[in-house]
Amino acid sequence: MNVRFLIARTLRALLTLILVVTFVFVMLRLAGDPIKMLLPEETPANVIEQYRARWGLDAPIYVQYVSYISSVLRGDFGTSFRDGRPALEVVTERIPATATLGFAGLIVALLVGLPAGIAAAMKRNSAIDRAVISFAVLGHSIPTFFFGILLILLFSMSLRWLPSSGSATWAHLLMPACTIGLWNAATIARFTRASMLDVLSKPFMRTAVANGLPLSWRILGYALPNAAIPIVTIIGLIVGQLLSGAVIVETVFAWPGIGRLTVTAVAAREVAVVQTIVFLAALTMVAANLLVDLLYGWLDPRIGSSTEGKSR
Amino acid sequence: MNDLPLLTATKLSRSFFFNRGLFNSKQRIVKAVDDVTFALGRSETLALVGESGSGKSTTGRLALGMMKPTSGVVRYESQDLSKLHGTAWRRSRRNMQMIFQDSSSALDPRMTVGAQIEEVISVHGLADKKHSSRDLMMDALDRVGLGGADLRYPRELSGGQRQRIAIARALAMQAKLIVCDEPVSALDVSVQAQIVNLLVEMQEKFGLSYLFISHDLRVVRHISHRVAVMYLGRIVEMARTFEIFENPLHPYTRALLAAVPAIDSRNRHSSRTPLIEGELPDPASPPSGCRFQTRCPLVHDICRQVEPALADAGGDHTVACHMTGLSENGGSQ
Amino acid sequence: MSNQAVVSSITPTAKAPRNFRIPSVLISSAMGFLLIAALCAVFANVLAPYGYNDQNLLYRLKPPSFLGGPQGHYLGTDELGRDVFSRLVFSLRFSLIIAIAGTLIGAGFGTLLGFLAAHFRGVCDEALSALIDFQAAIPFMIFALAALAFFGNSILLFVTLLGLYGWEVYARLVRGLVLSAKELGYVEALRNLGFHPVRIYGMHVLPNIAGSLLVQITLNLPGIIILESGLSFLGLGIQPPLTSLGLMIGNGREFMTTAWWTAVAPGLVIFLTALSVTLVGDWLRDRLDASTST
Repeated sequence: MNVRFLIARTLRALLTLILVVTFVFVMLRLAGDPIKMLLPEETPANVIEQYRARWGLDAPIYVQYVSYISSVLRGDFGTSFRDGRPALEVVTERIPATATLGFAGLIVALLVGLPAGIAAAMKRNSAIDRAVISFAVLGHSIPTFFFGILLILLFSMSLRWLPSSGSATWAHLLMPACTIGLWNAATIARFTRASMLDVLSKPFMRTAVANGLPLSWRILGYALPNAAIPIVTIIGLIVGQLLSGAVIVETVFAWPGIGRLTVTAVAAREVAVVQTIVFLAALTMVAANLLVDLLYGWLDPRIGSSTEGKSR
Repeated sequence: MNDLPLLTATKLSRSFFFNRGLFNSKQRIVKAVDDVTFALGRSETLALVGESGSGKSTTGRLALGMMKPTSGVVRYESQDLSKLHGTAWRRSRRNMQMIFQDSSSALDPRMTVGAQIEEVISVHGLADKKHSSRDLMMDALDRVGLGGADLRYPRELSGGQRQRIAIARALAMQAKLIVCDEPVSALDVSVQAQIVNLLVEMQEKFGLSYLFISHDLRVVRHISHRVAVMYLGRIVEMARTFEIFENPLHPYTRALLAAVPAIDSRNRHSSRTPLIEGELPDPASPPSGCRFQTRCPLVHDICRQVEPALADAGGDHTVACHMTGLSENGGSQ
Repeated sequence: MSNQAVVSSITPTAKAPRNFRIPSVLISSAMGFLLIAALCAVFANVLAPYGYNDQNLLYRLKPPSFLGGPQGHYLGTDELGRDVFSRLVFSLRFSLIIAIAGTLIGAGFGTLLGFLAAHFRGVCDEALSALIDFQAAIPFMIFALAALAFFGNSILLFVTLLGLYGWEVYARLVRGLVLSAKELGYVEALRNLGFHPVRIYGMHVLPNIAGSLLVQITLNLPGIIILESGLSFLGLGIQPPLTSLGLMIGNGREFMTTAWWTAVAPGLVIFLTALSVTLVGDWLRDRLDASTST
């Protein structure tokens, strides 16, 4: 991997973040008086004046833009109406819960999706293949919230095995993780199957068969590493969209993470909290993309030398 | 003939720029057409001949104003085509039309051919109280011998019939100038003759002017009044058709003519044998001096250094070759 | 951005190599289901025995009549004694209208941008890909929620947001198709007939790419249906007194212990609708591929 590629990618990531901040700034301006949206209604007039001065809202628009960026850089996103604490604090304290859930969901997705995709590709057109494809189609047709409700009905209401909501124990984690995992497992299975089929048709795989290498060796040692790039891409995307998926699943299972915070903040129009979440989501996405790009360079050294080739 | 030519092209050039790659800031410049000048009279057919890559198709597009020249001027009657924009440019299309080698790319597969002809009539507002757009469309189809085919779709027609539709459409627009870009080279030989005869007949009836682009010299001999021979973007010889075929002066023209098999329609494939020794040079870096020097049997020192200009050889015959006089005397063949 | 290609394909449009045909029984069932769903949506006011907001507090959370509930309430009642079946057919109507409206907005917007980018190339083309890159930087769900928070919920904004979901797939598709039409000389030939670009693209190119667009619309529709019901489920989409399938599930979720049917009935309808549209979309795509490759 060359340094130039790394720098180009990092700069691009930074540029994207600046664009997101600009976009939020424009949206806020279009929506109304930012002070009214970022501070609670009962905020004393002198505090409002303080903020107005601090954000330079009486200044020309480009000055406001610059001071908005600088306050974002300082981590000052405004104050939550509900408890009067800084929005950043309200959001960051929820990160561990969402990260735990997202990580567990990813593990489930990988444990189900990867073997399913590999098996389907190995036994192309077999019953297994059909089952995996059906699973992928079904998995994308069931809305996550409905799947979660079905799990609750089955495991909490009928069988009384698992708690339906909350986050006190590991048992609480199981159903939400499976719910997030299902959709992503369907995606991963689909992509793994496609890229494995692609690799298996390559001449070097036939050579490996002819050389009498055992099946497991051929899969783990040859096919999977060569099929890794699209699979890594899709995993990166899943990680990048972690917050998105969390919104619904956390609501269904009353999981105290950022997703649920998002729903309550949007319902109460707590703009300060919402914009913090938008930045966090964009940061996650950009970081995941950057990580995937760096992984590409490591998985396939050819990519680092032709930065343009892969951007299309 | 009329004193004022219908179309004049003066010192036309057109370059294409290609980036060599991300880290190579130098551009590859191809001069597809280089300093081309010609005039086309009313009811006249001028043929542009040359190998593929000679710039004849680009010249055709420049002549219609479908492409802007890098330098030089095209005038239709007295109008500079590059000065026309928007509505004025679109209106000018009524006068000048193009017939393509691939007739199917010029026709909408989802519309009947009649509807497509009516569409141009209505877009250009050619119908009046006496002649409805339908009448005009039927007339045009009758003229090309396809009366009653108006409800057919392009895919139901043969290549020759589609070419007739394209001609009918140009007739319906009352075009005065038609650029024919290899109009018959995708057709069977028997059909070729029909289309060429139709073009000649329409020219006699309606006083059309054709810029006829072709690599097939037998067709060119049959249809054109004058011939311009192009090589690597330049006209190297231009004369009346009879003159070109009977008294070719440029060694390239002679080579082209030598490669034409006897007029034997069965032997179409033999015309694909290499015309001349050697490859066409890279158009991005044409040879110094005369462009033909790398393949010319008569090449001399001066040919490698000085580019010959088109010079009058008498009787409306121009040629760009240092060796013209010599070859005439020496009779090198 | 490199991942963008994947963004469009993570929706159920992902092109996994297909090796076997979907059994025709499944296709017929899917089409049959969609036909029934469409009829229910169109004739909701004829089919529904009750209005979707008719409350009967004496009959609250009653089970479906086939499970021993009161006669006339085929799928039972909800927490306000409203007839679940009646609400279901009306919800289907509203959900389908909104999903289709959103899809059409997205298809129209994306198609327009695709045409512009392909026609003007250069700066327009760059702007389009920058826009697509940028949209990929914010997860769509979060973007939609933020817009709802900033501007407040309204049905117009909601439908517009649904329209913004997936527009880039159309833009990309149309751009590619128009560029290949240009490559073939088709656009140039029409231009030389003196046609205005609007006529060229609207009356000649568009009808010829309509098949591919229709397939793409079908492939995108399930994603929009699920997004619409998800946002409504969260209480951030369709607002009462209107109703939608997602909203019904969101309400029913509160009463799962006593009246599971209030959530399961609309959930099944969403699931079957999304599944049927996906199957039909795949089938349409295979047919189009077959007809264009021959």
